[in-house]
Parts: sequence; structure tokens; C-alpha cells
Amino acid sequence: MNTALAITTFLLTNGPSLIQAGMDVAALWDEYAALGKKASAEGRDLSAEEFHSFMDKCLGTDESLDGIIAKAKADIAAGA
Amino acid sequence: MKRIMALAVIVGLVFGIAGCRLPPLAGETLPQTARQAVAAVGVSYATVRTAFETYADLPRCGPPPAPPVCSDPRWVVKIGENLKAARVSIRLAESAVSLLPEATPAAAMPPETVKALNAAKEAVSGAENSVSAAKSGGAP
Repeated sequence: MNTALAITTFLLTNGPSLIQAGMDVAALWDEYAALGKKASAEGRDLSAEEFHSFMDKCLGTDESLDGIIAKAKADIAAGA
Repeated sequence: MKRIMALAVIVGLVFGIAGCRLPPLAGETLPQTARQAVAAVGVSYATVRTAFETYADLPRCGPPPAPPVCSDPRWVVKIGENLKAARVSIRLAESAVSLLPEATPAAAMPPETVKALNAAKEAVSGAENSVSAAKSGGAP
């Protein structure tokens, strides 16, 4: 397949999800700033729970990584 | 060569979109607390992970005629393992920082906390380097 066509096809198919992914990452940082402002407005520090919850969102889960890794290992085993 | 260029465009796009609003780096204008420093590593991790997941979702590379834009499953395994290790390091840094008062400046972190934070940064950097290496098309 022509490379330009492949890229176009990829972007048409995945463009919206790529943009969404970028926005999600940017939104994470905005969320952290908002958490800090809220706590500050309430005259308190960011709680450990709030901080931990934010980090949870950043890090995602091990299970989803395991799923991606397992699929790749299966593809290797299948000779991909 | 075309495949490498195509992959560079896609990975560049992901980092370009995500990189528009990355957290401030140490030394930039915003003052950083210890927690902000760890949060920044967390957001960096999220950025690398997004790029990784986009790469992993590509059709698999294979013998010719392979798709011009593809992912090598060996890289997917390697980067995935790197990201798992990075998660552990970031959690350790988070735990270390959580013991400090919220407003503790990053510059005032105890040495062991600095060590944990640096380990987390290095782990994320390692995963990021793996993504870069994957997009270059080399062998894992």
C-alpha cells in the first residue's frame, strides 16, 4: 500500500482518538492545578487521598498493560 | 525508510498533541513543590503511555508486504514491561513524597526522596527512549 495512503487511512481512522488522548493528558495537568487551587481556596493542603487519586489517573492500571503485553506475546508466539 | 518516516509522523503527532500542554519542567517559572514534582512525573508517564498504546494498537509488523505503519510485538512487550517498572518507581516516589508536608519545596526534599523521584524520572525516561527506539524501526 502507498505510504501516504496508509498514513491518511491511519489518521482518518485514529485521528479523533489521538486528539482525544492528547487532550486527556493535558486535562490531567489542568486537573492537578484545579485540585491545588480548590484546596488552597479552602485554606488547606492537598490531602494525601486527593494526591493519590490524581496519581491513579496518571498511572492507569497494571491490568491494562498486562493485556497489551499478553496480546503482543501471543502475536510473537504466532510468528508475527 | 518509508515505514520509519510514517511511524515518525504518527508518534510525532501523538507527542505533539500531548506535548502542547505538558507540565512545567523543573527550573521553569512555576515554583515546584515535592508533590508537584511527582505529579509532573505522573503526567509524563501518562504521555509516554498514551504514545505506547497508540503504537501497540498499530497493525503488527511482519514479513513483506508488511503494513507500512506497524508495531513490532517485541517492542510492545519491552516497552510494556518498562512502563510497569516505571509505575512501581513512581508509586515509591509518591509514597516518599506523601510523608512530607504538602507545601514542601522540591528543593527541600530529603535525599532519600530525591533518590526515589530521580529513579521514577529515569524509569519514565527509559520507557520514553524505548518508544523512540521503536519508532526508529530498530530491533528491540
